[in-house]
Amino acid sequence: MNPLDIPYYPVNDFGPAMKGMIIGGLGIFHVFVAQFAIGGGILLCYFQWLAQTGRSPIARQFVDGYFRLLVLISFVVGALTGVGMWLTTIQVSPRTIGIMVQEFHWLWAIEWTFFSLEVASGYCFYRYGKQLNDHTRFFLLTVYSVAAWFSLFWINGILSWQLTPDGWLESHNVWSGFFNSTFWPSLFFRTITSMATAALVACIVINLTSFDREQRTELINKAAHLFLPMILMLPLGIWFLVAMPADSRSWVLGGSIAMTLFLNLGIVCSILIGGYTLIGLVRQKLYINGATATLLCALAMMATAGAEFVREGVRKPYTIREHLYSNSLTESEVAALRAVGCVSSDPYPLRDPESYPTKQLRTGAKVFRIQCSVCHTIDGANGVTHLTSTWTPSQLRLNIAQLQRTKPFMPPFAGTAAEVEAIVQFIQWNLDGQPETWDQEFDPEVLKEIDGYLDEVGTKPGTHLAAHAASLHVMNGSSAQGAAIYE
Amino acid sequence: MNSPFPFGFPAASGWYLTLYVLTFCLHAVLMSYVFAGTFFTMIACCFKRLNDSTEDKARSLSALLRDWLPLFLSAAITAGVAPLLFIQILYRDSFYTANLLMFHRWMSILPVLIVGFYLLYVLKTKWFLHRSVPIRLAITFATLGCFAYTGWSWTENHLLSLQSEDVWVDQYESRAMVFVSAQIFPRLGMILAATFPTLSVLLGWQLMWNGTDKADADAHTKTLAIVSVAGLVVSGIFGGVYLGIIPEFARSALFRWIAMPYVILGLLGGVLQLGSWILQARKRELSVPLLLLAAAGVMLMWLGIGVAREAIRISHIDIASLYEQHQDASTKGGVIAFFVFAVINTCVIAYCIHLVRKGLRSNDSTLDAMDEASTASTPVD
Repeated sequence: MNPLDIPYYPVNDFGPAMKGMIIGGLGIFHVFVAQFAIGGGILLCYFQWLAQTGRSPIARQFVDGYFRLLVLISFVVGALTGVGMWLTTIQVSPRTIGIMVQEFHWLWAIEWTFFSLEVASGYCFYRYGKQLNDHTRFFLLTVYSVAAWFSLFWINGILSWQLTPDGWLESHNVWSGFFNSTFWPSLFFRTITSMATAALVACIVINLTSFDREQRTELINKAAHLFLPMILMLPLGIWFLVAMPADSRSWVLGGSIAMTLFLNLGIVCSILIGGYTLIGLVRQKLYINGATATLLCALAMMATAGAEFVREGVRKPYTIREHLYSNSLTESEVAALRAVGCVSSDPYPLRDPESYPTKQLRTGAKVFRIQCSVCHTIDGANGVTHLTSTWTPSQLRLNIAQLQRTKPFMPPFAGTAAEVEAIVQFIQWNLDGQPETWDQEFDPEVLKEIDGYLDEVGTKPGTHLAAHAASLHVMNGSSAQGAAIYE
Repeated sequence: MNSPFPFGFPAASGWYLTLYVLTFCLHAVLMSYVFAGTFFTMIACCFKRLNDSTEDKARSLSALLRDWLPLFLSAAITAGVAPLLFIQILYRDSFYTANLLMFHRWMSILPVLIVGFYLLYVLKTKWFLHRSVPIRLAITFATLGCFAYTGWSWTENHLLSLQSEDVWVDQYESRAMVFVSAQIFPRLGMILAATFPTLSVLLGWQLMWNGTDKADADAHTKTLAIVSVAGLVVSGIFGGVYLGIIPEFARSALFRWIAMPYVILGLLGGVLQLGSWILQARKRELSVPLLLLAAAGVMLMWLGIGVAREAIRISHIDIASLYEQHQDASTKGGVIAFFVFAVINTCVIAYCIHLVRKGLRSNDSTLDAMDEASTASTPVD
């Protein structure tokens, strides 16, 4: 029986790897390849124009070779990792992707039409480009570039909606959600990173050609023009920061050390790339060898990794802001599950129930599976045992019951007091090395205390609590000491 | 369900079911070229020394296939995104559950497809052409294996998604990533065999359109006919076996209004293809009207398979419980924008192809003119 009609899916275990690492790892790779495809189209349009206007006759030869690489990489790996993102998201958070598809399937279908156009125009050029005149070549490359960019346009809207759904929360209007406050800064930012990525790859490829040094320098200096828009990355980054929710912004500006570090990784790598390319390649028209170009490309991938981690992380405690928490529950479901429990309707048993000496531990394992395993492992990456190794049982009870106070980017606990106690016991059992015997803890006074914690904190997210507390301070003129309790 | 598909359903459900079936059929046609084409290339490796001269390209079906397989795989994957989208609207929970239950086994289709994709490019290389028969056979077999594995995985995923929650729970508890079912082999066999008559039609059109000399094109008529007829017969046999082993309630769904007209159309499609190829084989030449007939037969065949597939699926599940979900999806905006962009982008694709053909014809005319000029200036004894 599932009276709340919450979809329960089977939950898989990725061992010591955090699920976010799986989706993030593939996402970073896919985004990098996709950026290469999008920027590559722009670069090739530029090079074709250089060739056909006589500004750089050797550029035509480079276009054919570079496009071959583009097809071999982006049409294969790029396309399949794009599908892979869908399948991986199903593995990690099926409810999130289900909602996204339900809401935006027509916009995804629009993206599909542009992807089809990208593939068709790309193959036309790939197969026949050498036999066609410049006008037709330029037309095909332009169509390819526009189609690739529009693939980015449509997916960017859907992804940015997760962080800033804006008017969609009230109206559930697709366009209100699509054209949200972080849409434009992220679209322009990604366009610029695409151009920079393609230019870096071009610098590598140029070094692998049979052109002489002088010709390579000429092509590299032309490719370097695509780095120029990088000077806009700072204002666009600031625009994105301003547009994101205040709590998300606070995490990347120090509130969450991991997110802050990844943001800084992205910034530093971008500065290094931008500095070298703008000063060295654009201004001083230096030559860059293959090794240096490869190193810069690796930095670009690290910058992409940092940015993607931040983009995923700043959504917390949600996967769809103010609609679905990262544990795939809505706010109203959290409130309902406080009454009936989160495991009572879960049809999927534990796979290894005999490993747990008590029923309470089995309950705790199920609670962990449903609510925690999307972001945590037990003793692997972001392991709960690492995070709680010094906590007393009382601290565990308070911090889990009031999760959204423990860390404001944690969702509220969605279960009963008994389930809090069950997961407390589960964590302690793991901290103790999973002994073969374990006592069950059913002290009514403890459960009553946990109930008190749950009632006190409510089911609102931590960001709401912080805002509420801040408004109380303003109203009451509380001292800094009083405010510190909530921070 | 007393109406032919999709009319027995509420409007929203019927609409998404139709979109799903049509996009599935498109994907199946393109996938057919890839699977059957790779199989054909593998067989050709056994018998023929492969060459890459222009002359042989015109004469050799396997050379033609090796040249076009990567593009068709790209097209098949692109086309496959559409039914993947609609299945998440229609059968979200069961599809996701099957994905999750198959776990790494399911996710492995992505690296397998990447390997298969790159192997298709290897088949195009001179390096491949100059390898010995056993090596060429091994490479093409590995390539085919990648696509067969993908097809097998999809079939398993589909059948698992039809099961009850009890079966899902057992599957989850057992940690098995492979779902064993007697239906997998005959069902997969039926669909994979149906890729061969589809390939014949696609190759027939390719030979007619790609500038191949008529005599060279006609030389392949008998081969294409044999491939088509053999595929239809084998598909029919597997289909019969499959029909025999599916549960009675699923079998009876095929004889109800929801599917029966389409099953008949599907069988008619097979007959049209048989007739078309027998006639062409007798004439020993490819004929546009008969190829059109065979193409119509292919479309009817896949339409019949697509609807039968859905009828069997619907017989397993309580689709009425999903009507509300479909209705909710149908209220989401963007459909008009989709149709606008679909039309625009289709026209742009057509224009790109037109420009390319025009450009190639223009090159041919220039070369012909240069040949004529050269001949005219050559003194005649």
